Amino acid sequence: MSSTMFSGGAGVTEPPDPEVVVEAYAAPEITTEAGRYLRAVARDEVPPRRSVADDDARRLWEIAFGLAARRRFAERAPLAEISRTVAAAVHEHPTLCLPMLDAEMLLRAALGEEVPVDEIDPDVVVAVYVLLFRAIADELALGEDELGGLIVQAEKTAF
Amino acid sequence: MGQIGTIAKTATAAGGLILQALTDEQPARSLSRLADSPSAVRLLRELFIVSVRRSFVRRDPRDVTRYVADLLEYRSLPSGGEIARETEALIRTALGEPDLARGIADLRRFELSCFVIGDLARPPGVPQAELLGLVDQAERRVARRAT
Repeated sequence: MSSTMFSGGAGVTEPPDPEVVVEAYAAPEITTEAGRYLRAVARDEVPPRRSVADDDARRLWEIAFGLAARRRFAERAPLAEISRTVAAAVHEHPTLCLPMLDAEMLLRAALGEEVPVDEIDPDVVVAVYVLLFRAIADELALGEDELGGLIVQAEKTAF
Repeated sequence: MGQIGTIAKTATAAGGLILQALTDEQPARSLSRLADSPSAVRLLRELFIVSVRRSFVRRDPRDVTRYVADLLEYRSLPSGGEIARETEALIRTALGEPDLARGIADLRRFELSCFVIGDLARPPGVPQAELLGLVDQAERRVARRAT
C-alpha cells in the first residue's frame, strides 16, 4: 500500500469511509475588533482602520499567539526549529527591525520555558505577538475555519 | 612568581595583560580596562570566540540560556532581562548565529565579552594549562587575521 502526504506512512493509509455524513458546520464568529485585526494580518489583508492596541487587544493577541505557538511546536522543540520560524518572521518585515532574540524568547516563554523576557519594549512585544501569529498560522497552513476557530478560542479565554 | 611564569608563556604582551587581569579580584572589570589597547581588544574578541566554542559546541543550545542565568545570578545581577538576552545573543553569535547580536553596540559587546571571559576565573577556575591553551589559540587567530 502506498503512502501519501496525509497518511502518515505506508501502513496507515485507508480508503475514506463512504458512510460518513458531513454535517453543515458554521464556524463561530470572531466578535472583537482586535480579533478581526489579527485575522486580517494572518490573511495578508489590510487590517481594519479602527484597531487600537489597547490592553484588551494586547491580551487577546498574547493568548492567540500562545495558542498558535503550542499548536505549532511540541514542548521542548529543538531550538533550531524555533529559531528558523522567528528568523523567517523577522526577515519578512525588515523595516520593523524586530530584535530576533527578543522574539525568540517570547516564543519560548509561550511554550513554557523559563527565559529572560523582562524589559522588552511593549511595542516590540505586540509586534512579535501579531507577526509571529501570522507566521505560525502560515507555517501550519491553517484553513479559514481553523484560523477563525483559534482566534475565537483566544477571545473566549481573554474575555 | 608562578603568575609571572604563566604570563611569560604567552606569545604577546596583550596575552600577558589578559592573563594578569584574570588573576585580579574583579576580572571582568580589569579586562574591560584594557579597552584602550587595540591589541588587547582584538585578542579579547578572539578569546571570547575560542572560549565560547570550546564550551558550547555540540551541547544543547539551551545550555547557553542556563549558563547565562547562572552567571548573572552568581554576579548578583538580574537574570530575567536585557543583559541576559544580550549576553546570550553574543554567545550564540560566536556559535554561528550572527543575526542575534545585530543592534548591540561595539562598546556593549566588548563589555559583555569581558564579563563572560572574566567568568573563566570563577572558582574553581579553568585549569592553568587550558587557560594558556585558550589564549594561545586566540593569539593564533589574531595573527591569522593580521596576514
